[in-house]
Amino acid sequence: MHKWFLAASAAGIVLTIGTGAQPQRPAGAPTGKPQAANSQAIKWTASYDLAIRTMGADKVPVILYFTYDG
Amino acid sequence: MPDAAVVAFSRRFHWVEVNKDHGGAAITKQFNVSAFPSFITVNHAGQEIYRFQAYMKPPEFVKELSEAMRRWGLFKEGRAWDDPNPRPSKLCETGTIETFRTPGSGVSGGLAFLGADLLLAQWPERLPGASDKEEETPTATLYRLDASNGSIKSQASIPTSIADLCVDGGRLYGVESGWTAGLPIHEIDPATGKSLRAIVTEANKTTKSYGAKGIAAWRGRLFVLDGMPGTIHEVDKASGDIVRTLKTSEKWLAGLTTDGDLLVAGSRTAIVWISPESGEVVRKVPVNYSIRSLEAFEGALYVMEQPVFGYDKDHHWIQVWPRPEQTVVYKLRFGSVSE
Repeated sequence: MHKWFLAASAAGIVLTIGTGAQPQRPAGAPTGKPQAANSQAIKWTASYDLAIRTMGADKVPVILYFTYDG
Repeated sequence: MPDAAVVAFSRRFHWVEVNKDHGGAAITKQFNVSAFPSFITVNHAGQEIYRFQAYMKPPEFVKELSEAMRRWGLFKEGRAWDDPNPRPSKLCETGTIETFRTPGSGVSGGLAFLGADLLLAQWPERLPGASDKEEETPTATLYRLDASNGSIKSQASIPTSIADLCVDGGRLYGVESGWTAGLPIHEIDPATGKSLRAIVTEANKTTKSYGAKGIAAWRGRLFVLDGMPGTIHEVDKASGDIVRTLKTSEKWLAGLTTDGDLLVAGSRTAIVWISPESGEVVRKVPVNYSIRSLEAFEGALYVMEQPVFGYDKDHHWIQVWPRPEQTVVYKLRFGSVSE
């Protein structure tokens, strides 16, 4: 049994084989990036390392948006 | 059009996209991310301030960003930012509640009464999967407990694939989570935990969802719960064929038992009593904690909750609620339906 399945099952998540431990997306929920993600209005930083290095200067928290090609 | 509130709140953060398949594999592993999308707010040391995951609509998304910012504020003030949000002190507000500690602190793999003894399948305490440590696939433990105090009478190994247990005519059955995808119900030797017989529902082999969350024997008939849609299937014990399907009005159910008259299931918000003939929900008792498994015996309901998991500041997967040392079986007594 895959370990990701055990982890998700422990957490009470229903899975479909082959998709990894993804919470199922409810019908009607947004798809793809978060709504603001495609907007030029928000502050995207090129890399994690750069974000961490610059964080101290402007005291803005970094948020990592984890995604995959799916 | 992006939601204005989402954009406005998002501007308070620096965003970094980490694509697991495009250069982000190492960071994904470093942060122990196994669900996508995940959103992790970090401090300058890479410590985790707040994590949330899954798709959501704008109001919920803004609420999560607000919580991330609140915890960021605690961090900046030099205060603890990683305390879990509090929860109600009791499982439910009605009836009487007694508890006893379980042998371990792992997730329940089912409860059943064999005679007067309570059988509990319990997972190992350190969970696999989102862990940063490589471990062999573990087994759960099938405990035979004195139901009055939880003391152990005997124990054996049982697969973690078992989602719930029931006893019928002295025979112990365990349903695999993957029953909905064609994996078996097992008749299990309670002394050894070994499968004596596999009951396969061939029709389920066409689907892929792992969703079985409960099993119960009602008057000699076997019922299996498909938790997310809240459907209950009567299964022929000899052939594994689905005899009929009950559609309840509830979703996200887990754990199935019978009080002799009705089927009883748990959900994230309630314990529900269900007609085994029609699937109608005839009674509902609200609960404060999500239910994982339950078993009725002599007028009481023995219940284990679905643990709440999270991540600590170093990105390790941890059990948030209940605290591991506070994992218990709840013994609940409610009035009858007519009261």
